[in-house]
Amino acid sequence: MEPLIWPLPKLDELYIHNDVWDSEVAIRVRSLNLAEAVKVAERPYKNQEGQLSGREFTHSKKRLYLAKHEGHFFRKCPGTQGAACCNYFVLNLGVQCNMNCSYCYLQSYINSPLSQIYTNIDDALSELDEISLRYPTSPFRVGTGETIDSLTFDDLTLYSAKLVEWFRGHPKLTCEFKTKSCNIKNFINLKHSGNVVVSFSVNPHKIVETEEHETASLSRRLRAAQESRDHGFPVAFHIDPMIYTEDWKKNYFDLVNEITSLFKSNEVRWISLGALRYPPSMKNILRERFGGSTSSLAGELFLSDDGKLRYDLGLRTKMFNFVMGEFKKRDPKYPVFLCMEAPESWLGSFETTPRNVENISNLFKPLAAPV
Amino acid sequence: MPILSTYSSHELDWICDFKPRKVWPKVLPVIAVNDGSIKVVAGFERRVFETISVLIVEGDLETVMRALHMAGDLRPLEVLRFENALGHAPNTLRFLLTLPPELQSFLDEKQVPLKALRPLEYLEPWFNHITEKLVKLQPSSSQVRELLDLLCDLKMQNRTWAECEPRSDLPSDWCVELFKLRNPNLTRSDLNSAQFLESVSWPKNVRAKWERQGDQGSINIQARISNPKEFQNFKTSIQKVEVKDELWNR
Repeated sequence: MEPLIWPLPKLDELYIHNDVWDSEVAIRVRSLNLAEAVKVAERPYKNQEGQLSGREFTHSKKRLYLAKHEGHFFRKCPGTQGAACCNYFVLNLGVQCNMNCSYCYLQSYINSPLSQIYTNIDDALSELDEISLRYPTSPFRVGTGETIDSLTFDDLTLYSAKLVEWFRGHPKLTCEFKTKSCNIKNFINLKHSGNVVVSFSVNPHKIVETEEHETASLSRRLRAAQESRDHGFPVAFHIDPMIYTEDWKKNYFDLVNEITSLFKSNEVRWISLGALRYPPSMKNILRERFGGSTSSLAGELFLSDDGKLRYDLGLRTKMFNFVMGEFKKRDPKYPVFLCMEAPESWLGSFETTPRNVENISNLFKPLAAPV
Repeated sequence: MPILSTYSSHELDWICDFKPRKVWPKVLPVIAVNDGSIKVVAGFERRVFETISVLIVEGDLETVMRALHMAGDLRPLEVLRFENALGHAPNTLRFLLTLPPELQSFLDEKQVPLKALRPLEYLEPWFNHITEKLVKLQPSSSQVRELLDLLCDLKMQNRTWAECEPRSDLPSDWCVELFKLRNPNLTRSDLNSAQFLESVSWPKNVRAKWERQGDQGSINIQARISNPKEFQNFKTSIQKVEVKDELWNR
């Protein structure tokens, strides 16, 4: 069996702010010789006013800037207007990703011509300390994979180990590492409290090959999930975004088969489903970066109430029902839910809203007020 | 002090001519700045004259240009040409300067924003066809945006112009035709839904049709009810109507 190797990012430029030149992360990154490190007194490139061009966006993946994050780290997941909320909080430890998925929403979101890793994780953990004191009874779920993949840069930061350690002392809270990599080696052997969920964003082999460029193959992601489970870490899957192709049923049937053949329902913390969606303004960058052949662009998408382009609601419901049905056929206890979908989709697929669905209702309960 | 002099056209530098839509007032002389050469900054249409009265003003070229041509008065492509004349046009939008002048003029007349013109980057082989049809059909600004987006998607799917050209003189028809070509699965499914609804025996005085709004298809039911008894009858009869779940999940 091939080892789960995850390559270091390929960089053209590396900038480190004066103030963090000797920080743990900067020392480690410098030692990896990814590119010549340049010490800077201020951010080397300004954020653009508008959207980046495709070329600039691609280039931003090859330029890394290490600096402190000055604002708050911890915030509520912005979700999407009108969608059912699953009480998710995000801890952003950087921005950008070195993988290259055609549908990546960062393309519509990022206006920074460089990738950034925040070096002050200790400040982020202090913020978490404070919040855990203010909300002692709220079982927050905290994800680190919103504006950056949770694990792809982990060989540069070793943040996974710090987070596992912090959450070991806070067993009521849950942390989610969300990734398309297979980079679990830095935390897999650590002692933990069973509250760090290692979640994998997955899609059928064909979609991974055609749309999820420079990510770990599906087989590697599933192997990383198995190893995580075998070391006692809860695992989760995000089948999101589901992408329509002529043979979508077979593709997703095979995917469900692969997951269910490797994981029993009680070994999976949750399985979220979502369908392709992006703001109309992202089409230009998609055209420039991937051309007309990408399924993300070739699909039939229409403006939805939240201003994003989505498949027809009927088709989405059919796709969700199919995948959900395939999981439930194998075991009704697989905890499947919909991500960033409006109540109409929930009613179409579950015939109820998320707070009434067994196995996942606790994710959607309103949180307690602060003390 | 500004100096008013007479020059022949070839003695002047016309590099800043950004082809403004508005003609410089006849009562005013051509304005220029002397920054090594005598650069005309207003009155460009007079370059065809043999002798031209020119007022040379003080100040740097960019400041004078911006003072004479206020950004708020310019249309989107005019702004781009203006910025290009000053060397500030963004790289990503420079391709728009190669659009046929007639098309540029039409798009500015409709005030189509530059970001909505990005699809034109992929439509260069069709520029002449598009110019001809847009000028002829005179679509609105929002229709232009829709048409360009659809044409771009279709071109990227290797459709030919013959497949995409309009079949009627109504811009709204062209939008519908292109939408159907771009979205064959949805078009088929909506057609099936519409046909199914027509086959349903609806109560008397009830009209039902399949409607699409963005990503959602729905049944629009209209009933004419003029008294409580009719309302009771409507409720009873509508309950008997069978509509399959698959109508929404085709």
